[in-house]
Amino acid sequence: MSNRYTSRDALITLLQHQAIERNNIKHAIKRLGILATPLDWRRFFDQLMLWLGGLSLAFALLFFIAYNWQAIDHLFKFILLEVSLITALGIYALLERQSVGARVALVSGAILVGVLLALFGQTYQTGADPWELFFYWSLLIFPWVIIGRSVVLWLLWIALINLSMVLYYQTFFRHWIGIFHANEMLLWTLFVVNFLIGTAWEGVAWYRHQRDHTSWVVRILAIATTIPLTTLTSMSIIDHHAPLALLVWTLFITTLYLLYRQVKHDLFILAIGSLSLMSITLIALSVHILFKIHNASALLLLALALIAIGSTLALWLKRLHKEWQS
Amino acid sequence: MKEAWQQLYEAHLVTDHHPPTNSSTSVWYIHFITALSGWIAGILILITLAVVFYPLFKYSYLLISLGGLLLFILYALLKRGVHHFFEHMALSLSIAGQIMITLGLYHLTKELDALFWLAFISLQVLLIRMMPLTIHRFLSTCMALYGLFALFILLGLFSLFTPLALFGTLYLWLHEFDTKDIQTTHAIGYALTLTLICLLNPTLFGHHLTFWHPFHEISLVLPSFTMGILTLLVGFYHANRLLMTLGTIALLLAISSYYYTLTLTLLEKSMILGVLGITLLALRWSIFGYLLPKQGANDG
Repeated sequence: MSNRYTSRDALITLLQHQAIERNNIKHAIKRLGILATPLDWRRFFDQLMLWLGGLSLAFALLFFIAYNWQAIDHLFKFILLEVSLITALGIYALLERQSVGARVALVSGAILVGVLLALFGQTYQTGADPWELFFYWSLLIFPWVIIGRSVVLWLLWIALINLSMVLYYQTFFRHWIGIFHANEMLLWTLFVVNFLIGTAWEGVAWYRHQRDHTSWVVRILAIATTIPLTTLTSMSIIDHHAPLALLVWTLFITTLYLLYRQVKHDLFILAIGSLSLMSITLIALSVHILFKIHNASALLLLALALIAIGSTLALWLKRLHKEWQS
Repeated sequence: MKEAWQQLYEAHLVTDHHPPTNSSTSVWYIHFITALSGWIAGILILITLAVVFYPLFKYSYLLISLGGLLLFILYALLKRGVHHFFEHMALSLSIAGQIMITLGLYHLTKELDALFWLAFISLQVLLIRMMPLTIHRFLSTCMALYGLFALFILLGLFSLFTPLALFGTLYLWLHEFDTKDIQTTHAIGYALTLTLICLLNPTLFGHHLTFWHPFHEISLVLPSFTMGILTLLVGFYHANRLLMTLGTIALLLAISSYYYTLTLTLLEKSMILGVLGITLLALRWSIFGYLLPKQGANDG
């Protein structure tokens, strides 16, 4: 049974092949049921109002605590936050687990945990560093992330973990070992942590026999893993460092290719890998060509190489797309 | 695909007796790779030309003529149909040609005045019309809309730009199936939407807008918010997931800039959000709980 989203894709393909006469297009749209019906609108507004309403309330509390209103007693603020948090969790417990209302309540509750931690730090002047707030926040909401099985919660959790790592390195390592080495260590940490989370996610999906579908969480993790590793590899090529980053990058790109081309099909992740491949090849060529040829032809050579790599990769991805769709 | 074709075939709505053998729906991230490599290569080619023909770059008319000649040759070659590799090269050469013309125009007008932007917009509109490359049309539309934005700001007409650009973009999306070439319509539509999201976002271009708008405190976030909501609605109406994602991104950007850009205090913002949240939830409860209960939804 096709839904209106896949029907839309089919209609566009048919229009591109000019398989429908112009005066029949309106009938075809109607026949395929592409446009939203009153029932679709009802469901859409129902969900939209729930999400916007629930998140507005959670952010209203966040802004209220951030304002640090001295005229209001701390006890009142604690009571307000804790009652809101318990209400959110109560709504989650009462509703059906996978319903939109339950998801909104759980995401709002997860935001309120961070607000509560911020209020705790604000009240008792714990002297904690900002990274600790985000780290403990991610730690406390982790069980909910597991239970909630919501993409939004997972993305929030990944953002918190990454943010706490960045803040940690900014706080400590910058003073101890210098900005350059701190950045290098941070990039390695970001790569390793995101890679481990992604691997765990794919492992669980494999165990649950969800092998055909790739979640957007994995795609975001693929971006969060590829960017630091590509940056590290570029740095090692430019500075002629030890080839560890290059070795890890080669293994990583090969793994991406084998997993998402041969085992399961995911064009988005292959496109991320292709972009990384294009960047590294361009940087390697720049370093070698620009140092050896000291005139304008070096730039032209680079441009031609870039066009060749870009068009080859785009063509390969297009062919894969067609192959998988047919 | 086959299921949809079968439905239309049974209703005598398709011309062929067999469904197309492959799907030609384009994927945005493949276009992104093409555009990115094309842009960087275009700039490298331009630098090469500038180094080799440095003396010529001082003469505005010569620069415009060379750029124009380059674009004309590319147009003639592309019209005849060329290999995939050359299409990428054409994009890079075209970007180099466009920068040459733009530089020449800048030298001629001496400043970024209305005449410069008018010429820039005309060039981009001409390229959208003439160049038979989807990704080229996408990039030219982005440039044309940016030019229009700069022109409106220069003339002090920003308050007109937002409704006009929003109306134009949404009108195009609502009539996407009425156009002859849906691929071009989509290239223009996505370019307009993406550029508008960037242009209407106060954290990216807000410093331009505060000058020109009398009520900038609220009006800074409102266009971005309206853009997000309307894009989301149109995307949902036409079952366009990519458009819905763009609308959601616009909404998230509007909400994040709400935290930073307004001169309201955090307490006032908190109150506004609180009232908004309670109103939305109360409205939802009363509309879907009492006025339109589930069993009656089909009647609408």
